[in-house]
Amino acid sequence: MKPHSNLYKDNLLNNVIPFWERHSLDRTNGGYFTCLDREGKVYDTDKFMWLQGRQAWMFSTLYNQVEPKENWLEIAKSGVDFIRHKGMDAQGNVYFSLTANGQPLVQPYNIFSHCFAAMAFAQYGIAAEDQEYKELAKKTYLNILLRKDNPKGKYEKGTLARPLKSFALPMILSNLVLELEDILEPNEVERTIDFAVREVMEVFLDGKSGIIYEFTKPDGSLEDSFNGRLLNPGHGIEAMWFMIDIAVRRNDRELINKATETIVKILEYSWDEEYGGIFYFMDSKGHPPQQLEWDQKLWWVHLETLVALAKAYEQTQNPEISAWYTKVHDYSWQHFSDPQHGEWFGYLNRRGEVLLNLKGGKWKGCFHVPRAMLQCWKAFERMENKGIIK
Amino acid sequence: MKGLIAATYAPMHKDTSINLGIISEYGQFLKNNKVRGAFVNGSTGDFVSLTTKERKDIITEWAANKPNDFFLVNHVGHNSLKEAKALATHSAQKVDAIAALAPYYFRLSSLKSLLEYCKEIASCAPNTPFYYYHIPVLTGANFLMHEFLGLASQEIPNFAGIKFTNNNLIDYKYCKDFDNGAYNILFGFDEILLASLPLGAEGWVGSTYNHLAPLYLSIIEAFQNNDHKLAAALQEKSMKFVDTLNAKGGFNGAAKSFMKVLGVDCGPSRFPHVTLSIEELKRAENELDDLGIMAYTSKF
Repeated sequence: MKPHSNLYKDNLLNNVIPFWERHSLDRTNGGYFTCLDREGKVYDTDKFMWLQGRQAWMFSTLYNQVEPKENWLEIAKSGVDFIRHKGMDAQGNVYFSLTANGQPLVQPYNIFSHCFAAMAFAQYGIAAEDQEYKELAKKTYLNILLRKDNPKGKYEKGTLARPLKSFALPMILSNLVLELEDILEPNEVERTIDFAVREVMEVFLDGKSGIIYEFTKPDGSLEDSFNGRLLNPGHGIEAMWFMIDIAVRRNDRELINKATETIVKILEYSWDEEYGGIFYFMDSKGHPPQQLEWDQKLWWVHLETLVALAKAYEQTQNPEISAWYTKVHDYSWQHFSDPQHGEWFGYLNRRGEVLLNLKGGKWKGCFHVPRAMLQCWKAFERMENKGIIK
Repeated sequence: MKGLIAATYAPMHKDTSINLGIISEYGQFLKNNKVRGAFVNGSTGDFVSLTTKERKDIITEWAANKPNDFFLVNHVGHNSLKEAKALATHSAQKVDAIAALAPYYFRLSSLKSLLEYCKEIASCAPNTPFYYYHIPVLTGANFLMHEFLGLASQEIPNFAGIKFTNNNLIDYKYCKDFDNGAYNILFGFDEILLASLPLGAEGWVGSTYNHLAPLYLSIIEAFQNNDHKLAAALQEKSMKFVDTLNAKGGFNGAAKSFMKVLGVDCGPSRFPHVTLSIEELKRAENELDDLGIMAYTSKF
């Protein structure tokens, strides 16, 4: 392992964040433009609430963890105000997308819109010491918990003929609850952590193969169907760094080891031996996946893997993790990073060539790149300070 | 008609207008949790707060969307016999059975008047099994059901049985045994389901079969395995479930609100029942979790 804290810190503060500060702010309506081309020009003005929440969260987090810059707080405020005043229906449900000036386009069918809004409200509330936003964060969070068994509610298209539960929800809860830790009752935090860890490590983590499945039956058993066989390696690996964070907080060595083991298992399963990189989707039985984009290489998958490997190495100093880190680091920085115009590319084809040269769109915003940079910066800084890395 | 029959809620939108859109999903949810049927528009279904049109709309939606191999019962009782008959006529071709509880404002003073009331209603749906819904604590019609059976079996050709919501187990046993068990006597007291098992109960109607079907199936299984200690411990969980929610401002409203936690958002309750806020629901869920009850809830 090489020291890398400066690489991440420098990229975060001098490349990635300036890119979003320069190109994404909607000074007229508040909130952010996320559809940015390679150079950062806005090519579509719609506002996707996932990304509004994530960017507001990111700038609040920078304010809370890096430096209390007024400018960062203002950028965050512009996002949370937009979500609160335009992005929610009368019942406090968060729409999926809106026009630039805040007319709802897509109904609040997606529970993750609520998750990212809650994260943003919480961190902004802490940053601005704003009680109202803290309360709103708590309310939104409780709403998520109560909807967790039927996240889409009336917008669910599927029948109940083949009920499956989704890994995404306990996964995100395991991260969300730590984001809201200072706002919730301590026993509420522990309860949600217990639930999330149990679901992730005992239900969706398959004991036999050691990898994470994206869907199981309600009783936790596997199902032989497109969704039942679906693997999303990036999701599984990202969840493992959430688990490591929880394990560190609880001083739970067993969980650290299990999560580390799972990262390796998933990587062994999903690394493309021919072209390098991690597949986006796979089928557990090797059948053709339903997702036509299954063999693309995505930015977030690789960034979350870097975070997971950095944290796993910090906790275990396992040489196997170090070897994987080097492999993923080299691939990612070579293929995704765009030194010419800043930020990272999002979508590569299987061979690692840029497929879409956007820097932001409907799903890529100011989130995975800066969050991973911040996480890796801090993890390597701790390792360098502790002498784990010379 | 056998097994667990859920007394269903009247799903509502935020403004307490009826939410028909969720009914097909609601039915499938029950079926997936091994509930065998739905008892619609009853006390749990808040029939007293519904207009006649709403009651008709709800049962029409259930009939159009009921899962396969699933019993559908419509409660049509009303203080106005005229309305009750209209409801019976309306649902005759739509359901597997109709049921009626006794008028409860001018309370009935004799078995004869109860018989007349039931006979009039049952005759509006002559080809549909008719059940009398015995719930004396709310109707005041506190008659012995095995005596009523003697009359109804003679006078009402489509008389099929009783929804027996009373804890008089002696009367229940006599009804079960009447005419060599010719009538279907559905037990309606969820918190003492266990007590009905040695008396031969095979069918149960109640509100908590919406929430806790796996728990009751475990009670039945424990009883059949002669593990009476376990059966009693599980039954106690059902009592605690009712007590916990009852303490949140009244069981009816709290338990309807609680459906949201299980994935079926039945919406708010109408006056005089309460509607729990998300904070109250979360607290209730935590308390039930601490009591070890959440592990036994129906799963979406």
